[in-house]
Amino acid sequence: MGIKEAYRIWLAKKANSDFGKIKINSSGSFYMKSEDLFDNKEDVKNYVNALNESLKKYRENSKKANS
Amino acid sequence: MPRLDLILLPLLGGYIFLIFFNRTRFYHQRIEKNRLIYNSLFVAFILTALVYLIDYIFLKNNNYYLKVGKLQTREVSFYRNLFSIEIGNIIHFSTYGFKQSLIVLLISYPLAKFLNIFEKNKEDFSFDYTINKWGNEFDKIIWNSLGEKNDLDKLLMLTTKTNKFISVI
Repeated sequence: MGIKEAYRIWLAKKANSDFGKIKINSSGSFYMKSEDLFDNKEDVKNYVNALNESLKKYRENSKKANS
Repeated sequence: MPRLDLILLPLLGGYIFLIFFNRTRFYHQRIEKNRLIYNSLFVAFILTALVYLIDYIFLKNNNYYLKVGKLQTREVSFYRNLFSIEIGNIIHFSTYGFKQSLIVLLISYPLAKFLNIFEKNKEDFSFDYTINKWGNEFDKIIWNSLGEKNDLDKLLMLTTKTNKFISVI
């Protein structure tokens, strides 16, 4: 893929995303500030619930696989 | 004996350019180190050719001068030769090509920073391009999930071989 095509795709991808909030270090690592992620308590509860749910699903599936 | 001073300065300039130019910077943080030397040499060759051409075409025999009202400057070639003599007086090193090598080293950092100003060389696009083209799968999944608009889509759960879980937001 050429650089022009990649840039066009990037603009479309960036328009509806949080890429603008990601900070990139000079070492090539990247991060997002916690205030951008955990600013709303209700949202954080949803994250934890979603993670717990996926963990539960994983455990159920691994139990089925082992039995 | 080869003139190491003539190759080392452009090589260092090429390395500085590769490390500070966004388009090449993230790529070179992800490849083996020995490849960096060859790429630095390649950039050094291009920069040296560029400096020689600019010097030969625009500076060496340039008789143009600037006139503003009654004020008149000297010719471009005069300032070029003055700079050359001053450098010679400071360093006491008269090898042909040394000053061009020094200029390659000096311009590499500003040139990289200047090219970074352009939209297609911006940090975020260059990083995304590098990750998608040369990054490993772990890099890609973390980068793309963190960029999701909906915060719930940012969630990742990784499972290790020993059945330990790592939840990443």
